[in-house]
Amino acid sequence: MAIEHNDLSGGLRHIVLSGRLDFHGVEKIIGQLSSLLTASGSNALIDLTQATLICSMGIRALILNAKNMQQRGRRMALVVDDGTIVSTTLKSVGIDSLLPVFTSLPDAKKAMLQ
Amino acid sequence: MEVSYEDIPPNLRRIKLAGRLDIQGTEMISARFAALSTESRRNVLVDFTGVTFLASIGIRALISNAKAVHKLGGRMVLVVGDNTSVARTLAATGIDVLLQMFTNLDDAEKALSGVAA
Repeated sequence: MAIEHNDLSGGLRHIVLSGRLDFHGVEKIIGQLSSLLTASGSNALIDLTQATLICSMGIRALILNAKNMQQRGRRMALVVDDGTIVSTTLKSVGIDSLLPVFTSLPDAKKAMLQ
Repeated sequence: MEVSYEDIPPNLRRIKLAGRLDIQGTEMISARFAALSTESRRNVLVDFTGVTFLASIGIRALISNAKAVHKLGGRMVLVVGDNTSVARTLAATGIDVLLQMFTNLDDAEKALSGVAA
């Protein structure tokens, strides 16, 4: 599991999670993910297009961080490739009704920078 | 899968789910669960003590109904009693971050009493 980020102009932090968001993967990145989300003061785009699996713990991490962001008056959205295991899992638990979920990075950037 | 409810004055509806919230079970009760959650414009307590299995589709129904209740200005909480398997699933997926979860019915009712719906 790897985590990378870059700050886009307009106040948007793009965080890319790649690999398996299983128990070990989440444990490895959870601290850094929370820090990256809280430290910048920006809205955030979590890019899961390179994530190959997401388990309940990964879903919990997303919900927890989204709630923290909301409490700080900031927005968080997801980018997920359609038809993947990650997309199916997120849809099956209804994450798309809690957070904006985009299937294309340019669309996500456009929406979040508006 | 069974769904029943009881309205507790002044503004609380207790929805009791019993059985397996798997694909079949959720499909069986989802329309009624959604209607019961929103039609009375009350705060809603969802009682999971009789739920023997909770799949992702059940979690989806729960999130969707909680959101609808919230939009109407109400609040939804969950009671799991000593149902550890359901409690674990709800905690593992972070639902307990979104919705307050109680092991005791009285505590849940107390938490919602005095909350305007």
